[in-house]
Amino acid sequence: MKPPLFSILLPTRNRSEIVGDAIRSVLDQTCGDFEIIISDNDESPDKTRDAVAKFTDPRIRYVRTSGNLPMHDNWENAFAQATGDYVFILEDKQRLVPNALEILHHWFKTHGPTVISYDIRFARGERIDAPRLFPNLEKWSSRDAVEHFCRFEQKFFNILPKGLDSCAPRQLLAELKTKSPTGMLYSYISPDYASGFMMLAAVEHFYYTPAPLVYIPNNWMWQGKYSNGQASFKKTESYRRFLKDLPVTREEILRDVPLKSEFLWINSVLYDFFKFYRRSDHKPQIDWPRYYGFCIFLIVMGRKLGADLREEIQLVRSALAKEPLGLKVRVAGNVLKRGLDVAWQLVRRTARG
Amino acid sequence: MERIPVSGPWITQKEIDYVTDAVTNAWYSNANCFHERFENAFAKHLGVRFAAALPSCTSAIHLALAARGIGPGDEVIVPEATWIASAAPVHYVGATTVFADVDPKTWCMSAESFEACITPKTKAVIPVDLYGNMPDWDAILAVAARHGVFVIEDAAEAVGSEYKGRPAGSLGEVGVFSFHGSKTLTTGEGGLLATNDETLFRRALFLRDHGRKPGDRMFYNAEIAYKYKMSSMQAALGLAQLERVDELITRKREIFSWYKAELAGLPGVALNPEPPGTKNSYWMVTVILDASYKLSKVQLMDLMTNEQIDTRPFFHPLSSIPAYHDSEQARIARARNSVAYQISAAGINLPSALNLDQAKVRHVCDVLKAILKHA
Repeated sequence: MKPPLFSILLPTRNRSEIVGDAIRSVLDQTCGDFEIIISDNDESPDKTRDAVAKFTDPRIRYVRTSGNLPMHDNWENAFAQATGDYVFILEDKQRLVPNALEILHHWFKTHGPTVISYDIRFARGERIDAPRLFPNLEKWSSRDAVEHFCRFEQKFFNILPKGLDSCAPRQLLAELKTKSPTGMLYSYISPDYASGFMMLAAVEHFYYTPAPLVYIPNNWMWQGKYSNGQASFKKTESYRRFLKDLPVTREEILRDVPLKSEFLWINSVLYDFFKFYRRSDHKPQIDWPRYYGFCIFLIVMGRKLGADLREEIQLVRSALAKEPLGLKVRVAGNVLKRGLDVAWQLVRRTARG
Repeated sequence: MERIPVSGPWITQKEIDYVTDAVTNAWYSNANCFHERFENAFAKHLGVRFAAALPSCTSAIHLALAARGIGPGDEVIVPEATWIASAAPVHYVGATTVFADVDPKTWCMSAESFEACITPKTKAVIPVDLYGNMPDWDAILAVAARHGVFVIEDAAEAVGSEYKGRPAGSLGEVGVFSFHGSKTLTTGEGGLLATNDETLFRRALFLRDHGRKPGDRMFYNAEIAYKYKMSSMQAALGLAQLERVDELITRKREIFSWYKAELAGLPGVALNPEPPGTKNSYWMVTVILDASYKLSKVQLMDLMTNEQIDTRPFFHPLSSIPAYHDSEQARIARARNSVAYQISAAGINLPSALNLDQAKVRHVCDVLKAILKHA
């Protein structure tokens, strides 16, 4: 049988009550040439299995794990089953817009096998309007994207073809996996960033569309429901356990950053960057004043969310005390600009619903 | 502004090259090479085992019914709202045509009405993927399976549409296509029969060639049958178009998306539906006006014609047209099929030709909006 055009990886854990909605959003696509690979890592042996069994569509492939894989292993497990030409991940809390595959298919036909990253919209309501059939597509040089990262510009976090918000040829992903320093495509600490940086090292160009092909409904992101995004700020027990279970030590993770706190998530992203962005012809320099600015901004946001970040504030104070006045002014300016940028992003990205 | 046609093909140098090749070389021992390539490529495109290129979709339905042995005393169910080609072959084989109502959600045959039309004489059903829309195939196939009714999928207007990932034309026991000059994929005139049923396919090939056994060189016909074969030049044109089918369908969908954007927010106007899990190839962009407009399709078409815009009426209910009007089944259908009568009365096809551009679509929509404003 002909392999499908798309493999949609759906790694899931302990969310049997919503995983069916994610599956439904795939089955309702206007392009039907796909397989859905559900890697069921639920602690319960039957809840997710039963939720999936309600569907009889032959394009669904169900795989059960031991039930206690770390996140990156569950993603890896799903990828190992993929047979389609193009692969992307859909989380159990996410939904595809009904023409997502058709839009991607059109671009792959137009531009050949390439990497396309897309927007993930945080929706207030149950669903969002489908984007128009041929939305804008920006061509990005991988090096430019990395330079954006080194300046900690918000744009980078939108365009980076991460595991979670990009679609890529399976062949390319398989090659990345072979070359990966860990032997994995979706590697610790942040599997989506790790694969994104490997991608940028491997390709000269990729494409980005500001059109939302995926969304997270019902304000789940802002409510903290179905999201571990704030766990690092809040220094939760689950996040501490997550760090402890990693095959790298705290010291290794923080070796190359000035602010030695594992609760500032950008530090683990930098660890992934140093480890997975490897190019002999491009050695970008991190803009450290902007790094401080970014970290201060994270602390401000974290405190707004009720996190205790006193130790991190102390770290920033003592680090900046050693720096000259000019750098301090640059940091302050950067914090201000960042605040304005993010406020604008929030307004723009939150869908009406 | 020049006249805007309602339909028409997209021909490139590839088509011209293939047809030139056929007219130059497809003779003598090569006489069938383009048929074979076209039929094999089409079968592959659909994911079915067999395909036969024919002179029209009408002939494909005729052959399917004849190959299945349907004849006098049998009943065949067709949707009320479709082109007469879906129904006329039932008469050719001497069977009785029964008209089922359509589903307001899809404009295609309603599964409930289909089931209500079934009698012990019912032998076949011909659901139509109208204008590229897909009916509720799960429900229709369930009814057909329950009653043992043979399913011919009339995908004449739906090349490129999909239902739950399965291409239009691959859902019934037989699928039929039209390649008329107005169609998304054209061979000038032409059609095709596709099936996975080898026995039926062999029988159809036998019947289409004057009832000759395959390989017969003695002109020793076994039965009186038909002459339904496509020419090499048409097959070559079809092959070139098929190799560009994704591009053709993408353009059709793009044209529809322009209309959709232009007409968004216009009250009381419905465009072709695309239910979840389906893909509509939008052969004909169609608008259905709400009854509150008090404007018949004929009036609306006249007003559009005055502005140099060609349109077509939504197909009249078959039970209303003179050809069927006086039949017993048409009398029954007129009393039963209220949805088809309601939709058909208020619908027109807007220009959907493959040579349209966005400016022309905008112009058509501006004219339509102006007409409706004063209606």
